[in-house]
Amino acid sequence: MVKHRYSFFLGCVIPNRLPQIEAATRLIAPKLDIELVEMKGASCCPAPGVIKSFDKDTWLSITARNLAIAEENGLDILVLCNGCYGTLIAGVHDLKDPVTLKRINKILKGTGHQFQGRITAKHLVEVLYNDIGKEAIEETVVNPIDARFAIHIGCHLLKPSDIRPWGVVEDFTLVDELVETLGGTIVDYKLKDMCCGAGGGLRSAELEVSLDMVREKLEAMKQAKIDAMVNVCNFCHLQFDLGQMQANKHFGTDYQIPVLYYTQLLGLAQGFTPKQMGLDKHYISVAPFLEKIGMSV
Amino acid sequence: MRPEHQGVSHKLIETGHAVPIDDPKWSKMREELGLDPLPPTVHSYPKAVKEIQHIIKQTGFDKLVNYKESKKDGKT
Repeated sequence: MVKHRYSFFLGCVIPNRLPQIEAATRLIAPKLDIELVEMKGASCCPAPGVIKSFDKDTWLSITARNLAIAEENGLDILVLCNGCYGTLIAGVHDLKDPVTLKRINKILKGTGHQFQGRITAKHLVEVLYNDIGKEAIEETVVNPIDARFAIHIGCHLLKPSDIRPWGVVEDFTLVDELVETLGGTIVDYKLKDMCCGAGGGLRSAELEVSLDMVREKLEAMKQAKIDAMVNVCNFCHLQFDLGQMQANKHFGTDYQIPVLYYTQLLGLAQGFTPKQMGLDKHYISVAPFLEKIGMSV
Repeated sequence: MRPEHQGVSHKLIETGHAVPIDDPKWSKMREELGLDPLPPTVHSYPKAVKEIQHIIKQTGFDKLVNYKESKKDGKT
């Protein structure tokens, strides 16, 4: 019998632009005794930077519909995207207010869904660190990854901290520890806690500013002499991978920093091939990193 | 309201995704990875898109982002 079951929230960017992250996550889950139950008909979270900024009731109603689909599964949500996590956990929080819940459920009438407030949303990091545990993850490692990594945590995973499960969010080390569990060495770098520059509608409306922010982080990572960077948010991942290529073109730089979402790295450690982890689908070649750990695409 | 963000809003209204599969190459990529060509989201359930549009009508979001007028002007 499967020990850990979650409603699997995909959002937009993962299934529709970075399906390699979806594929990797679906492959690593059974090894950790995780069952990912589909959220049939789920939509955009919706995007906090744009939709929430425009109209809170629209944002909260669509969020509530997604939460209701998970509730109909009878399972908490597992979410891979920091932005989607930010929306879903804020939705859970806001809908604890009975007046708000009643107003939003009235808007949902006609959709066939009503949210009752019986489930919550958990980010991948919370599931892996708190529900599964480092020891259980380590037991699935057959191919320790001996390489130097820079970690990018992202913004919405930690903040606003009063509606996050972490307690203190300064010097947040959970992602570092999860990478160390796979055999990796964490390298500190300047600007580690800085935003990637993608969120808040910045990447879609102010691409040059957005790319300048990621360029700053890439330069700091380069100075730290890492083999690859690891992230836990697909939108950050997109920014570091596609955005790195765009920044190189825009600023005349030549950054070649391989970018991995955590479940892709975990999959390699569990013995899956780089191709199974979709590492051949990246904009910036992952080949130098794979060569370092004795693999090839 | 920036036109780029207005465009994102229109995609949400039309598909239920702010970032939809709008080119066959994304479905092809999914299949190459062993996934179904469409994810089990609104993309696989047309009724679910109607539900999103129902919400949008209830809140008046379509008017807020000038959905019909923009379509008429060919701005989407």
